[in-house]
Amino acid sequence: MAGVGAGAYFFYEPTIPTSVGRADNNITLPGFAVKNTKKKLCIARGKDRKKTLKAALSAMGTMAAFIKQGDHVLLKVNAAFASPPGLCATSHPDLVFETARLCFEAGAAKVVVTDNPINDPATCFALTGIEKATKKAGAKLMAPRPSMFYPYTLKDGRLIKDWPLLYGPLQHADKVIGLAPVKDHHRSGASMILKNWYGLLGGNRSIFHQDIHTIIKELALMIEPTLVILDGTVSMVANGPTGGSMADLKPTNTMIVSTDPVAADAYGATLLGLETEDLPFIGKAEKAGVGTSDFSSLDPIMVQGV
Amino acid sequence: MKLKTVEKDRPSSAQRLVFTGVMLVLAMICAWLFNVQSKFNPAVIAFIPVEEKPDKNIINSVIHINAPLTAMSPAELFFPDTLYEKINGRADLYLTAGFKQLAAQRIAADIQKSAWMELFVYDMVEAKNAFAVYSLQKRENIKSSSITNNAYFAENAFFMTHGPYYVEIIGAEMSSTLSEAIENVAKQFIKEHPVKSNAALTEIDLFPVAGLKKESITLIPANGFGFEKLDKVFTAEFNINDTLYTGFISKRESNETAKRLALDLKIFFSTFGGVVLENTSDIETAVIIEVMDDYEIIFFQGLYIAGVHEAKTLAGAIDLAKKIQKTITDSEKW
Repeated sequence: MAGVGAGAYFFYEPTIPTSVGRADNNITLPGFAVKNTKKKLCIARGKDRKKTLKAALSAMGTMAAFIKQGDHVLLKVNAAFASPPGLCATSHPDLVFETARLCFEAGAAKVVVTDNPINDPATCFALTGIEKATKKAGAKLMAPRPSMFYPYTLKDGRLIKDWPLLYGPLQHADKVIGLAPVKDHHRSGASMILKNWYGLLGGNRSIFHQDIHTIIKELALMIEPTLVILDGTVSMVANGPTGGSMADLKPTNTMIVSTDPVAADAYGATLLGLETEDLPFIGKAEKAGVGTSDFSSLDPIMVQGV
Repeated sequence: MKLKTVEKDRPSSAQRLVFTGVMLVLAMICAWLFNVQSKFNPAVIAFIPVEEKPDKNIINSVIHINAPLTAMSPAELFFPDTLYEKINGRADLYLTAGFKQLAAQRIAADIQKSAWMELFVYDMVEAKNAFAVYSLQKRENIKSSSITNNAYFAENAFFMTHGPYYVEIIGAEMSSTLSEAIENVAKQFIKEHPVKSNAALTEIDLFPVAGLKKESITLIPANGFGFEKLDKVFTAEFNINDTLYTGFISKRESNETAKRLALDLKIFFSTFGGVVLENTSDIETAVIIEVMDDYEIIFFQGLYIAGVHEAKTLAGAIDLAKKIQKTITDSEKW
């Protein structure tokens, strides 16, 4: 028995494998929120994404309230699937373009667009129209490469431990903006802002589907964004997250812009006909202190008829 | 003869001390091992290298692509352990329904590749499984197609079952040109993949015709009504006197298993506060349960368990249950 114990100790590997990115375990993520500002939420109603986004941001002090001269801005989009924009399974290219453009207008020195898609990255960025929109806006597309992933551990995290994180694009970012569509999701109930951060994980991340609400909570704790933009112009109300038929879509004509990702998702849930209680990850994120599900407590600014 | 008394050597105090020390060390090793192993680090899964797709996961094409169609990419194959890589959260639905393989390919409707579609062919092993995933994802406001027994258009997309295959053809946009190309691809697939008839779906024919909403027929592959033992159950909606009712039928392996499942289902509903009422249905094996203002009727006959689920009125539920029993009885005479 002593021999077995000694053998076990001999074979014990205290450090994680170094096959992905760097072996540096000291990756920490700063908060990207603008300091000393209270949580804000704006709901703009209209069919034109560019107009509703601009209207919502204007009501919140314009993009200049969040982006300052010289900032390096990271746009974390949803480019998960090689799906055309009309099927609303990914961030709409019009929204990506307009967000990047407004960042530059506010003085950003650099705007980077990224995601770690589920399907082949090159095909996803091309067929979603996000690549074209990014280039048109003068931003840079950073498609994931193995060298961009660093092991990361969320403090007190149960699932995100020594997990490959798409740190390359985050490394030099001063500000982070999350852009996601409102979608039904077969496993989690909905895929919106909080679940969008899933695209920062690498590795065999599908195992987290077994505890989907906890992983979304941990993702919410992992990233404190500057701003989130939840696109409910056309929502995928059935057969998510991939959809496929335009019959899965419903024009909900709503753009949600917020500095509170939990509040944004809580409002987004209403576009799917859901209550906060139907989406356990919202309650978990709120309990963890990420934000509030009581979006009305933020005195949301409503902009109608854009 | 005198017997010698042999005194057994007793361990000395030094030996006892060494023994205790060794056992203590072993106990500490066990405790340490238990402590380390109890803290599972998901990263050991993260770093399992994703094997490069072997050539067998790429095939030239799902179908012969003839002009003006052009292949935008080779076809990719996905299996149960890789299905998530293609359809993410929706994979669960297929995996619980007997999924074997997905072949997916993008096809342009013209040489200029101005309009394109993506063809998804799910091999579900059996026609019943294919119907399950087809029916559970059926869209509303559809346009039925006669290409196969189960086929429809939903705006830009086409869905059908063909033997053990569930097929989706998703158009990148809405256009008549693309719709026509999609239909041609569907027909091409059927032509190149002849199958046996859908004889496995006999339960569908057991639903009575009166009031039946045919488009509502669904096959639940697992966890029917939230009960883990109720799998492969067909459900259908009926409009009876302007009230909707849900009938269900499931074919089991034997008369005995059908009977046992009916009893288990009764116990399941009772667990959730269901109250068993007097059987006023004339169906000998029926059980009537009131669950939170709704009515459940469960009965068994031959290989079948059947009944009515979440009915708003008892009279309507009994009426439907009797009609279902009649069709089952009539089928046994064939």
